[in-house]
Amino acid sequence: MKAVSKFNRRSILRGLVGGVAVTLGLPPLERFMNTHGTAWAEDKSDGFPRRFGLFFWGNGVVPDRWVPKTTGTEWALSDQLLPLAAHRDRLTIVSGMRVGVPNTEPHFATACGFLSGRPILKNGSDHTFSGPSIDQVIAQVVGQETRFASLEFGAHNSQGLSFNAPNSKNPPETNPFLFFERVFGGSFALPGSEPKIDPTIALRRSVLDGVMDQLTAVKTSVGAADKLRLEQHFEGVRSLEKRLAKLEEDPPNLAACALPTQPLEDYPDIEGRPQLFEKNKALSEIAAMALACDQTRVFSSWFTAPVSNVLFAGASSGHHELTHNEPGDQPEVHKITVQCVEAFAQMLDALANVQEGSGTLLDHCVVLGTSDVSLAKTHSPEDFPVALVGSAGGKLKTGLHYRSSSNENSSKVMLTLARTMGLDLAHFGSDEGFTDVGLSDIEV
Amino acid sequence: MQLSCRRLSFFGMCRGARRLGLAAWMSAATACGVAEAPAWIPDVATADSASLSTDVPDVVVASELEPAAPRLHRLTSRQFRNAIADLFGPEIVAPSALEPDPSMEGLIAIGATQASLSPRGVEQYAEGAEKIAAQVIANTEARKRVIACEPTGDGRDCAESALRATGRRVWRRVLTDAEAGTLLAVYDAARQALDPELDGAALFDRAFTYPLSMLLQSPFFLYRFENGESTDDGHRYSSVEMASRLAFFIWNTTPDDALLDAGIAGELVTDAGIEAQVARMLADPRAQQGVENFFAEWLELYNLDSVSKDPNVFRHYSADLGAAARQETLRLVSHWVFEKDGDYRELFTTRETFVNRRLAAIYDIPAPAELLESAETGGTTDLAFAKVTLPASSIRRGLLGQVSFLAQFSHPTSSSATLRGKFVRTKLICGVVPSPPANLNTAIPEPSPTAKTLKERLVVHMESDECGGCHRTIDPIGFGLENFDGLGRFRTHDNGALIDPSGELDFEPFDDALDLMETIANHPMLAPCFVRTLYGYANGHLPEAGEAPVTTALEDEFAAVGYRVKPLVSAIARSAGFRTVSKTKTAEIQGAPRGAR
Repeated sequence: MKAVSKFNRRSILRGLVGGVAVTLGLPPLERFMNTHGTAWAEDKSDGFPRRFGLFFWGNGVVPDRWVPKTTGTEWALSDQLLPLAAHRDRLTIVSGMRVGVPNTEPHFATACGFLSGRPILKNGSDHTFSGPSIDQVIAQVVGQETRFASLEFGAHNSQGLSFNAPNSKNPPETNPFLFFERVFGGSFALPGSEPKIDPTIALRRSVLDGVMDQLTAVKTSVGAADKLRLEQHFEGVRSLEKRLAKLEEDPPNLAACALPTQPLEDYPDIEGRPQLFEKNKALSEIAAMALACDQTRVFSSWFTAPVSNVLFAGASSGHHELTHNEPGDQPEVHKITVQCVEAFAQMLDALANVQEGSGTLLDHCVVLGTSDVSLAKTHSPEDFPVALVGSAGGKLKTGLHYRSSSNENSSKVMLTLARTMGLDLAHFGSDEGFTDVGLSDIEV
Repeated sequence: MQLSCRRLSFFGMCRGARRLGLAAWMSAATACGVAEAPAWIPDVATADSASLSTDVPDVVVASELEPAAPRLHRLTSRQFRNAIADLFGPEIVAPSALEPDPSMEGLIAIGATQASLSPRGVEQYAEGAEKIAAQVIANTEARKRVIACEPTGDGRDCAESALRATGRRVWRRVLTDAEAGTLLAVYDAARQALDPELDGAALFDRAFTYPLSMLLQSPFFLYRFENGESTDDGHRYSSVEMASRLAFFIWNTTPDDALLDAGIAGELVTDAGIEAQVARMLADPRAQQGVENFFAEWLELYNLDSVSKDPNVFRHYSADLGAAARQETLRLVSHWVFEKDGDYRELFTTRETFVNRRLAAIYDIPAPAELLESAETGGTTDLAFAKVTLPASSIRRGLLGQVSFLAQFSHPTSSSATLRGKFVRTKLICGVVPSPPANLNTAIPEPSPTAKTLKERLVVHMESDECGGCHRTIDPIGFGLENFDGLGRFRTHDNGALIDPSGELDFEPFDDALDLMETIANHPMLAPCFVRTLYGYANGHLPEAGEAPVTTALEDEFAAVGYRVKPLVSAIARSAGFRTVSKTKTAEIQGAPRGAR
């Protein structure tokens, strides 16, 4: 195998720098091979890695207008799924699933129950997920090979719900310009270009080594919860160091990889309404290229947050306010839900627009579209919204509406998704959210 | 002790509830027709019965202070930026993108002791440290602060002395020889790696940026490790630890040289040593920065940037209104605490405030002459503020009459009695409002012939058994503020209906917003809640049961000094609750998950 670094970091600390840069070109696809071997059984479809995505919007759906009326393969799109028409054949709708954990905290208990399969954890007057969300469960295995284990972003300002552990979040990048800079700015190298021969990379890594030594030493002096915090900090430094090491390798030679369009520096509100769709489009295109350039294989997009009261175009009030106050069958809430699904379609379009081999990038993904509740008016955990797009390279059935007749545990969807991504996972979730069986009806 | 129902309302709310005891309160409440202790009585729901069930009214349960466990504070993004400016000079620009600060228990200062840093946050610290180090070396003034010597030869002697001196300021303590050695090794390695490209002073400077960057992304800069030391009298924060504690509490930034010197010299474990520093610090302009930060965290003023309103409904709205509203509140607070040294409670009844032209228009008052003059001479009017006294004829008063509160705790197109009431209940008088039960239909009732408007529907909602229990403790407060629309403009009618702003707060009836402000200012929990919140801010955790002897004494002290904030800051800094720490490290996350399968 190729040496990861030109410099032995310990030797730098001893002041011994051997500075001859040796570049050994590897066939690009070899880089997709799992060097860890055990947990991740990577069997690629037509040579491309599988990717996982999550697209999340706040305040749920209107189940009567979300769930398709017929099941099986011959089903028609419902009102709220119409924006996904272009992706109908790649789409599997799972309905009738129930989030089983106690619904103790409106919006958040069900979001936590679905995304992590676990009950929400009260922490004083606040709350936190009690375990990792599905994107991080997958990233902890699938993300080992790429520059970024996962990428989090979102069109509207929020802290997102991507959790590594209790009180440990991955806040989304909400500024498209900064998101572009993070992935494609500075040290990013396009396929075909030479890796950087930059002595400062090794120096920066030696600094990170020193920081890791400090974290390791000092964590013995604190209590258990703080020790976990320092360990998570350590993991962050370790992954950053790995990221620097990647810069010294050949960039992956991927035909689909190109620089995305540079976004605007600012997207100011217009008429008191944030430019959600312009931002979402820019973020989606950057994320699509981050996948195409194999900078990451896991992303989560937090379009709006649970309880978000943002003003949508054409709405007479904030979204959350309307879900509780709008009388009747809530036509305004319906219209906003459709807009959220349109934003989901923007994300899918960006993925489908990238050609990969004989298919598209979207074919090599599975993207889960979901929300924090079913019907926001009642904070319902029943008939939870689940839209799966892409087959993850042929691992999932598509063009299907699966409807559970028995309020099945929503964690089954997550276990299937994790296994689809190649995780050798025996179970998912805990307590009422625990499952050791997936949803075989949607698996290939 | 015999209680009238009137007295009951007092004891129900105030810390007297603790003195009186839950059992006595309950029996009196039953006599007055109150079925059960309302959920918002402080601590009733959570405190153990022992601390509540004393039969002796009006006697403080005096027990020994049980110091809280140490907390690991990570510098907030504002503390990080303030520290960089203080360490290297105002020309050095800290990165704008840092991990967002989560607020917990209503304070960023508490979130800073609980939340973990994301990998993205680590990356931002590393990039920030590299950029700051590069700037420091490139800037003559900043470089002088860091490198006092003249490098000769391989520059190692100069590098080492500069790293020890700068490391002491950045890490807020003396570096060990081993630590200095590690930093010097990074300098050596950098020097060798860069040697082919650079020489002389440029080589020294560039090489020096690497250990400097290491200092700045080290856990010893980013966190405060405060585990205390054992003495004959028990376990306490060490003098060096106290330097950081005082600096971040009172100034919201790193210690200056005088404070750090005092800490390292061991002066900050004595009453006299602490008193001297606290007095000096409160007289320093950085105290204003610290107090303003507390109010901004507590009153959620940093969230104002993301407040947006429909300009078709609120024609006075503009995107920069949030920033102006925050300025107004912070100016009033600073004026109140530092110039006027006024009674905290009167912050809710004062007619004084600070406006720019935009806010003056919203408040329907003439823009102060000096603002008009500055406009004529081409001054930027939106940034110019002037002190005004609101007309006596207006019902607008104090902090709750300001846009920062009225607009933030509203909806994008309308006001919200619930959001406003909940803020007053939870933040100002430390009431507990449980989350609505999630398995309940929280939808407000459909329109009916008797309840057509949203407000009428809300009233029905408030009267329902399931929702009313909590909403009755919050919505009526908000109804008292309905004369202010969702932006904060005065109005008499809402959708054509005359507004009735009367209501009651904890058994005290009020006629309108003016009257409500008096009721809030006189509320028995207002001052104790402020003490509790400021104490929580100082320590990074809400006061625990074992700290009650200290917080109770601080409440008395606050009253004794006429509810002035500056003396309270001083009293907290000098209190045993701020200076002692338990030897046992704890702090698992509360309420661990149920049986993991």
